[in-house]
Amino acid sequence: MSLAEEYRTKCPFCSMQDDLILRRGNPNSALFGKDNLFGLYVDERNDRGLCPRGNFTTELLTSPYRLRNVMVNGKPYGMDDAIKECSSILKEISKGKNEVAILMGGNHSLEEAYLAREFCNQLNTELIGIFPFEDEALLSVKNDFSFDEISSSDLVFTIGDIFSHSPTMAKPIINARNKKRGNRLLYLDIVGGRVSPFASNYIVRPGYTAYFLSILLDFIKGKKKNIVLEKTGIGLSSPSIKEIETALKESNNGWIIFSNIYGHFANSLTIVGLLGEIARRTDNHFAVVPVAQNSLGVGRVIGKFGNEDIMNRLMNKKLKGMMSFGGLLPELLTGFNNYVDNLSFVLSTTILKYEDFPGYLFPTTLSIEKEGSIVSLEEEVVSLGDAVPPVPGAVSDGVLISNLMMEISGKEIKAPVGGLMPVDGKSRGLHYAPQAFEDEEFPFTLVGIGLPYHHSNGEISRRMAWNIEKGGPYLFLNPSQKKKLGLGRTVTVVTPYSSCEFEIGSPSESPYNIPEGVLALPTHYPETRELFPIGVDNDGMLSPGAVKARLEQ
Amino acid sequence: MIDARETRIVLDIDRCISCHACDVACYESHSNKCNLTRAKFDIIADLPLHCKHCTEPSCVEACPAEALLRREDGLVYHNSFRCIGCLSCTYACPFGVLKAVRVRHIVSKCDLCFDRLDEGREPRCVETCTSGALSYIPITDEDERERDRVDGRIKAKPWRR
Repeated sequence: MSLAEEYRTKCPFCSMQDDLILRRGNPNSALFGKDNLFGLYVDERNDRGLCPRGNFTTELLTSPYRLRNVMVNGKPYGMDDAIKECSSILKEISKGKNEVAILMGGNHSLEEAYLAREFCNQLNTELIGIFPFEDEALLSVKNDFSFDEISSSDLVFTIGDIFSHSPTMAKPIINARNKKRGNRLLYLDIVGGRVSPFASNYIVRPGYTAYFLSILLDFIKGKKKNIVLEKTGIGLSSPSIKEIETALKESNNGWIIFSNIYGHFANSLTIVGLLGEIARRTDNHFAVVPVAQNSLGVGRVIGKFGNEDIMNRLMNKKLKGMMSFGGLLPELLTGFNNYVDNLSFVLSTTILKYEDFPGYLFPTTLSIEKEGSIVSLEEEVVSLGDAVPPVPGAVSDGVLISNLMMEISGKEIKAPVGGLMPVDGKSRGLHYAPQAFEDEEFPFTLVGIGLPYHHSNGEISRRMAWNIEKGGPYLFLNPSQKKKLGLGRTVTVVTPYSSCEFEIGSPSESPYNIPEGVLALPTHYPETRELFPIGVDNDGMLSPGAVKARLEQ
Repeated sequence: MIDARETRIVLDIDRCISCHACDVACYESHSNKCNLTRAKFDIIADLPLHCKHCTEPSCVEACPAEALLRREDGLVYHNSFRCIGCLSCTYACPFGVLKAVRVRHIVSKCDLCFDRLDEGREPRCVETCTSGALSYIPITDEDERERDRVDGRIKAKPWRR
């Protein structure tokens, strides 16, 4: 395999899609040793910098934890044999309608999403969904996103800690706040986050964000002026709603930006709907920031939001086969192993090694290892750029799907060259009910907060520079509450679904200001995901959001 | 080639979001060894701390093994092959920027990514900074005042003092 000197590509992680340059490491350099295959450079055109995840691109590319061969039920297998076996099983089980389900990742190209849709037609199924579940809600609205306009706006209202989830948004937002005296930055969230030091903070009780926004919308509409916020249990005082309403109405070029991550907001679908309506009525722009690189593109090419149907069929034994491309089913769906016996065929593709996978496991590639096109936040089709040669043994999901289709039908199907125009998102209903959380048995609420890094089986989480000393899961809670409860260094968190032992992070390590009654997970590991429920799309909200919990010593 | 005597890494603490991108960039570009120290202020801030590359560096004076040297271009350079891990420099540094590498039992410090400087590029942490808080700027009179402001407002947590 010969390597070019330079690859210009896109950061493979989040929807910011920052430009990257990978250059071959200079073995003579003091800094880049012989083991460093690539040096990473931020594109000169890209003045938005690069976050910690982006800086790990080269490490992930050459990681010894990369899966390099097919595994079947935990044992190595040949690629050709595995494709033949999979295609014959799929041929057999897809004779009936909707017997097989496909979950697509948000880091696929548009061409791969097109092939997945064709694959569904071939398998006689309509069951296809996108597995960054928190992104599903964001696909249903029109995104006004524009870096340039945000950096020149007079008001930015962020819902969710965007500086944690998408750090490269920090520069345009801080620029906007600093541009002129009187410009404002408002921050609404369930914990104080990285945006907090720069903003006017509105911290609501976990699970009640959608309820608070519904009250705000009523205020904007001119209804319920006499509501006393203190009596609602939201956690905010009455003047705060007036402040937000006034700021939104007085702004000339304001932006409302929603940013969510796994296990943070309950009712995220509702929140998106309410924010869209608030933006429309106050004449502001509304931008949503998905978690995955190309969720917008993949979601709109596959044109379906079938998660709810797929989950129901899995739990009610109405599925024979399930495939996930770009992620592992046991990690994507917490509690999947309880339902795996309902299926006769399971296939996943993954970047990193995973032991004891119950089915066919194929090694796949990062998005920097493939060519194709993606959709930017501004809803434009852009190229992924140069493709770095994939690690030996790994194939992209597009190639795998093509091979499976070829084996099943004998016909070769190619995606149209030059990018596919995505279709519009489907409109969704609104659900206002706040989610009741803590009770006597479970007096705490457990939420996920900004993820510096998480990927696949959590091995990389454990290898992050600042996580090495930790070794395992840790959480933050309110320091005075910790003192009151007399907690030691470690604690066990019990939710209705599972339990997990945590080390308690020191307040000096946390950029988050945690209210009493809240337990906050800064980094996900596989075992922490078990703490959240399996049910997605229940009651119109994209769970898992926050979950009730109790502490045991 | 950039002369370290005439330029300086400046941190605008009003822009830093504590995202740690500079840490990871340093870690990735120095063979999995982060040379940056953090200045922590409870839950208020967690800021990167860079070597000031002093004109008369006390760490160089304190080093018994001549592992720390000040080059002609002003760069205070740490030679890890000579370092014996006595930690004298960590006590000598008035800013608390030197820190021990626990696994290798030596000290690490910011080298301004000197091979990038030789290519005419900025240090990796400056290039990667997500919020524009870090900049690598020439020391002019105006920037000197800026530097005083920044240095005056950061009090490093001295290592084991």
